[in-house]
Formats: sequence, structure tokens, C-alpha cells
Amino acid sequence: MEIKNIFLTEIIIFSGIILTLIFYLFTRRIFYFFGIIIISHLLAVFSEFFLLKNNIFGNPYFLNFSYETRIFSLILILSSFISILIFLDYIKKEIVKKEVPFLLLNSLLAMLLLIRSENLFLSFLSLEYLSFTIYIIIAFFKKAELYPELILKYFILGSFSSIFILFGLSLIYLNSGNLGYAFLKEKEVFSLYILSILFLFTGFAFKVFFVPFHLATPDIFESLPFPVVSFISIPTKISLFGFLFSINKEISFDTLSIGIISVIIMFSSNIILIFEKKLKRIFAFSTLLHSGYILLIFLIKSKVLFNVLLFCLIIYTVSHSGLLLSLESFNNEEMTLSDLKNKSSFFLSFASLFFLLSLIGIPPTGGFYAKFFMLGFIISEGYEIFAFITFLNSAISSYYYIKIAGEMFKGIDRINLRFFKVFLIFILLFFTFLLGIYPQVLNFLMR
Amino acid sequence: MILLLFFFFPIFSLFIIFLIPSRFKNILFYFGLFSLLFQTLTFLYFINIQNLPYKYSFQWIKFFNINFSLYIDNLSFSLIILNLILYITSLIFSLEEIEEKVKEFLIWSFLILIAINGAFLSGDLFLFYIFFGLLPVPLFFMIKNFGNREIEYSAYKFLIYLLTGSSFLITGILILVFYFKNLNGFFSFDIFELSKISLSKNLERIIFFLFIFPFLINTFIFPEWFFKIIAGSRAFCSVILSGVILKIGIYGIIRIAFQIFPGFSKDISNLIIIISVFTIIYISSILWRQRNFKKILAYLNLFYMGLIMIGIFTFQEEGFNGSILQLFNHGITMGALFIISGSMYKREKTFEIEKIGEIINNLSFLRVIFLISILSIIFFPGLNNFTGTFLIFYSIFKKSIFLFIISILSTMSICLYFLSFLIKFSFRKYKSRKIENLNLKEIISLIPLIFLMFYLGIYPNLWK
Repeated sequence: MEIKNIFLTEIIIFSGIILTLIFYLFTRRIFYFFGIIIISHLLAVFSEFFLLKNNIFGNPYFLNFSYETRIFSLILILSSFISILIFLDYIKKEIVKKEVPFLLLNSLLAMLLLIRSENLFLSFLSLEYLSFTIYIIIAFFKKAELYPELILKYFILGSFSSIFILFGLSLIYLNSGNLGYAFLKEKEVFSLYILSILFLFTGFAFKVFFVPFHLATPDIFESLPFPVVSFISIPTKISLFGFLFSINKEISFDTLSIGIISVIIMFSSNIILIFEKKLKRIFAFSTLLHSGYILLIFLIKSKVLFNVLLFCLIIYTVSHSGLLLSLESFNNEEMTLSDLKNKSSFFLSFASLFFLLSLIGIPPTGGFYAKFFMLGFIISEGYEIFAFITFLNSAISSYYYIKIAGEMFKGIDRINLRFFKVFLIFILLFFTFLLGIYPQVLNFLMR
Repeated sequence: MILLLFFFFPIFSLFIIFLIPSRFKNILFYFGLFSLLFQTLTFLYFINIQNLPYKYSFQWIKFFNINFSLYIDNLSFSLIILNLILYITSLIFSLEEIEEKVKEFLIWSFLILIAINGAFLSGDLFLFYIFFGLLPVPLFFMIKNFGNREIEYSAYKFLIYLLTGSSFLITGILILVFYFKNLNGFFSFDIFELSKISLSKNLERIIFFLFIFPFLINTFIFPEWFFKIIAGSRAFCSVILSGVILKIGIYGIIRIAFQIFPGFSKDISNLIIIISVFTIIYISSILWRQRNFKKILAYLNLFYMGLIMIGIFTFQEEGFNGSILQLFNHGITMGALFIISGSMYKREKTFEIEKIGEIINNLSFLRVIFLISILSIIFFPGLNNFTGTFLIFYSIFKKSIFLFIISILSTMSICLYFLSFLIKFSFRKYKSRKIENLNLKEIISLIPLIFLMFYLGIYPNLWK
């Protein structure tokens, strides 16, 4: 039988959602639900590979199933898969409610739609879908004693930002009569256009924890367990950059403003990070810092953009999830830097050092090659100053990143690691190292 | 092919060290020692000095046309040999000094070894940067985990200085390579090909600054971290830092900055010479007020670096040869002195110079070695430092008599200081008391260095 369904991946995930709903009628054991989402993730990965291999592309119903979006969604599903594997440890601790798997799959579907949409209205809808599921996930997990009013505040502000987006959309619709990305080029009423872009930026930036609307994020991250932190920080950023990529294909962004925004992101998150003591907050700002680096990629105007973005996103995913896994293995939920001293593990310390080096961009890790690749092309476009600032920022960031590893080496009591976790960390380590010394392995994905 | 073997052998030994459980301390140490000895012997046996330079390369990253190219000539050969000698001697000494966390110690030291060897062996800009950028991290952990308690702050300072330097370097490399690509249509990281590029004067100035600044940080600009780290770290770390790490900067200047920007280096030479002369004057005057023996040695390192930089930047054959000779000799002398100071610290837990006199008066063997090394520091004829420094002063004399007078005066001040040091502490009568004698490991680690001091003093053209 020959399958030629262009929606195969979405259908798989959607049927996973329906299946979890049906299972809620019969059982209460959370184990089954996680089984369903793991299977649906794996099937989604395979189907995505299958569709890529058979060149099944197209754009029906304002959705764009091109080579690029398929690759991005592949990374997205894999990163979400890693965070769900981290969840498995938490099932026993009974802090995971049985509704969570359903929500996780829903938000994955929303992110997929965000990457694939070719129309601003559709992307708005999927963003709302995504943020709604994320509100509920946060509300399930957050500890009430830490910041009681936090989730309500976040929800209300998020709704405000949706209104901003909606208003910006209506202005654009007033201007061009269509909300497809391709129609955004016609900017007849210029001032109106600027205003709408500002509104859109405000709304989107709030939803994906971007500067200058990022100040609520560390509080949120602090009150969540590690797997949730991983889920709402890594895959969401990938979907955001996929979305930006597909807009950038139609209307290329203003280079100066992109550069300035990313420089602001880098410096603001770096300055906060130097004084930060709590590990989850450090992680939150670290993802922000890296999204600043990745945003700079949109300065590139040639066809290399896709390859660079792909490489950087893969490195971003691998090293951040590796770091999170090894921090999580220290088995202490509310950790500050000095708590790392209490426990030790030779393997974990070296593994997390390696991931941290990759985040700083020190050779021979994948992170170095990502920076090299990206800033080289930025320089060839003529923005040497931005490249220099980025390298300086990574030198500054070395202070707190190395500090984490430095604390780890002081520990005395040994940790007993589970084989499954060691295996996962080992795979991520292998990828970080391999991409650092032999980056050609990704050539088969590049265009 | 032998280069490839030599390149991968430390990495291979590092993997083995990872596999050995940490409770077998002695096995770990002796394995590390065996691996170092094996490297040295194979290196000396297989590489014929007359046939240098050796080259080996294959294509590595196709997209950027990056070659995995190893290259060795007389300069890098002598520096690698120096590195291995210092590693072996100081590791034998550390057998006593390091008691816990042996595995960690060996892992960091082998990572440093890999980075140093890689930087000296690489014939490609990209490969050089990989090791140059990697180097600060294991060094940082070595300093922080095996030093005094106060050292942590300066270790972070060290890390940030060096990583900022390498961020300058990588920006320079990227700008240079991508301009080369825009002009010629293909990428190249080969130093000799990149030297053919013709840039506008302004751009060349910027790139040259980006290239030379990290090397100067590594050598003698902003030396504050260096003094503090040397004062607070173990003997092994001080030996490697002063003996080899300082020289990577100079090696980079000679191999990379001079190759790619030959004209511009000559333009800037006067500036560098002036900075170096200031360094010399500063150190020769500040030395008189120091009470801490290790700090004295740290200041002295900078003095030697200043002399070497002057010798290189006079752009005369004598000065250049003298400097290269000094790169080797300085490492030998400093290695011996740091090991001596380490063994003194083991006995009295102090670096105060008053105590040192008491120790060396009671240990006759140590006293002889101490005397020889101090004489070697003050350029005593017949010992190693004499010939190289003579050549450097000759080149300064040819360049300008004024600079010559200043530098010779400050050198005389250094010599006077050490002579008075000897008179004050070494030849005074102290009360005799029982101090633990030098053990076999300390003697074994010191003998080869003392032997080399005499050997290089009498027959200086060791590697031609």
C-alpha cells in the first residue's frame, strides 16, 4: 500500500490525542498515557522521515509542507521526545497528573502548526492553542507556596498580548486585504504597517518569553520541575524560529533592528546571569541568551540561512537538553549553585562540563562550530561588529557557565545513576562531540 | 604519519585514564608517566632534526576547505620537547605533592598536554584555534581545584582574560578568511595562502590587532592574574604555566602574526619593544620589595618574556635566534626553581624568603641545586641562559644604544638583587635543625633539569 497523505504526521499526533482521551474512560494509570505519547512521538518521527524521503511536499489549506518545515518539525518532535523521556522519572514521584500527557501532545500539535502555517491568522490561532496548553501545564505543576499569584498574572498578561496580536493583524488586514505571508510585502500605508508590526512583535515576544517581555519567565521556570522547564523552553523556541524562518522567506526582516534586538537580548540576559544563583533561572536565561544568538542568523540574506539555522537549532537542542538532564540527575528540585557541592559524580561532572563548553562555544564541541558557521556568514554579509559582540558575550558567559561545572567538581557523596539516564546523556554527549569534530555528518539534511 | 601517531597518543592515553578506577592512585600516576616517557622517546627516535620540517595533512571539513594539517619545524620541535621534559619532571615531583583527586589531576594535565601539543603541531589556522581555545578550560580547573583557597577569584579572572583573547582571535580569523573568500572565491585556512591576501591598510590594522592581542594577553600584557596564580598554585601548575603556556603566545606571534602580516609586524615593532622595555624596568624595580619567593619567580618570568619579545621584535637574526634559544632555556631554569620552591613549601608550608635561607642551609644537596639555578637566572657564563641573552643584547645594541643601556641597567639590577639574595640567605649562618631530606622522587625530578642547564650552557646549538 502506498501512503501519500501529506498530513501523516499531524494525523498520528491527533490520533494520539484522541486515544489518550478514550483511555481516560478506562484507566487511571499514568503509565499507559506516557506509553501512548512516546509511541506517537516515535511514529511521528518515522512518518516525517518517510515523507521527507518520498518528497511529499505541498501547501494545502494555508499550510506549508516544504522541505524546510519538515526538517524543523523533525527537530521539534525529537526535542519534545527528549523532554518526555525526562518526564518518565517523575511519574513515580506522583507529581505528574494524568491530564499532563494529553496537554503535552496538544502543545506539540500546536507547535507543528505554528511552524507549518503560511498565514498570519493561522499562526495566531496555533500560538493561542500553544499558549493555552502551556498555561494549563504550568498551573498543574507550579508550587503554590512560591509565587501564588504568578500563573493568574501570567495568564492575564498573555491574554493582553493576544489582544495586541489581534489588533496588529486587523491593521495588516486593513492594509492588504489578506493575511498570507506572501501578501505582507505590499506596504502601501507605511506608518500603519510599522504600527502593526510593533503590535505583533509585542504579542509574540510575550508569548515566547522574549526580551523585553522576559522578566516573568525566570519566576515561572523556578516554580516548575525540570522536565516541564525543558518542555517549555526548548521546543517552543524551535517552533518560534521555524515560524520566523517562514516569514523571513517572504519578507526579509530589517537587518539593523534584528541586530539591535539580539544584542539587547544578549547583554540583558548576560548581565542578569552573572548574578543569578538558582539553577533553573540560569537555565531559563541561558535559553534566552541562545535565542539571541540564533536571532542574529536572520542577518544572513543568502540561501545558507537555512543550513546555518538548522545546525544552530540542533546544537541548541542537544546541548541544552544534555545540560538539563545532567542537572536533573543531581536529584534536587530547588537547587542553587552551592547545592551542587553536596553530591558528586565523575561522569556527570564531565558530561555537564562538556555541554557547558558547547554552550559557551569552546572547541572541540558542536557549539563552537555552530558559532563559527553562523558568525562567519554574518561577517561575509558585512556585519563584523555583531560577530565581535557575540564572541565577547560568549566570553562573558563563560564565567557563570564554568562556575556550574566548577561547583560540581567539589562534591564528595556519590550519586547512583540509572542506566537509562546515563545512556541518554551519553548519546547527547556523543552528538555534541561528533558535531564539533566532524560537522559534515549533517550534510544529508542540508540544502 | 609519525606526527599523526604523536598527535593521537595523548588522546588515547586520556581515554585509558578515564577507564582506570580512581582508587588505584599509583597505577594512574605511573601510567601517566609511562605514557609521557613513551611519547618523548618515540618523538626523539623517529624525528630526525636534519629532515625538518615534517608535514602531514588530509581534508577534514570540505565545506570550508579546512585541512587537518600537522606541521613541525625546529621551533615547534624544541617547544614540544621542552613541554615533555617539564611534564615528566614535574609529574614525578607531583607524585608526592598530590594525594587526593589523582584521577582528576591526571585528566586535567593530559587535557592541557593535548591542547599544548595540538597548538604546537598544527599547521592550519582552524586547528590552531581549536587547541588555543580549548587550553584555558583545563588550565582553569587545574588551577582552581589544585591550588590555594584564595586562588579561585584569580582563576576566574584568568579564564575570562584568556577566553576574551580567544574571542578576539576567532573574530580575526573569520574576518580574514571570509575576506579571502570574497576576493578569491574559495575558503582557505592555510597560513601560507592567507599571507598572500592584500587588504586595505585600515582593515589590515584591525585584523592584525585582533590577531596579536590574544597572544600578548597570553604573554605579558595584563599580567596580574599570572602573579596571583603562580603564587597560589602547586608546583606542577606553575611549571607548566611559566614554562609552556607563556610561550604559546610567542609561538603564535612568530608562526601566525608574522607569517600573515609581515609588513605590519615591522611597523608595530617599535611599540612592542617600548612596552617590553617598560615591563623590564617595572619588574626590575618592583622585585626589590618582594618577600614571597614564588612571587619573585613570577615577576622574573615576565622579565624574561620582555627580553624575549625585544629579541623577536628587533627583526634581526641574532635577536631572533637568541629569543628562540631563550624560549627553551627559560623553561628549564624556571622548571627547576619552581620544583625547588615546591619542595621547600612541602617542608615549611611557606614561601617567605627568610625561611628559605633556613631550609637551604640545612640541606646541602638542595643548596647546591639552588645555587646553580640562581646562577642560571642571572645569566652566569657556562650555564644555559647566557648565550641566548647575549644574542638578544647584541641585537638591542644594533638597534639602539639608548634602549641597550636601559635594558642592561635593569638586567644588572636583577642580577644585583639575586646576588644580594644569595649573600643574605644562602651564606649566612643559621641555627642547624633537623629538616626532612630530599627524597628520591624530588632528586630524580631535579637532576635532568640541572643536567640540561650545564649541557645547554656548554653546547647551546642543541637543535641547530
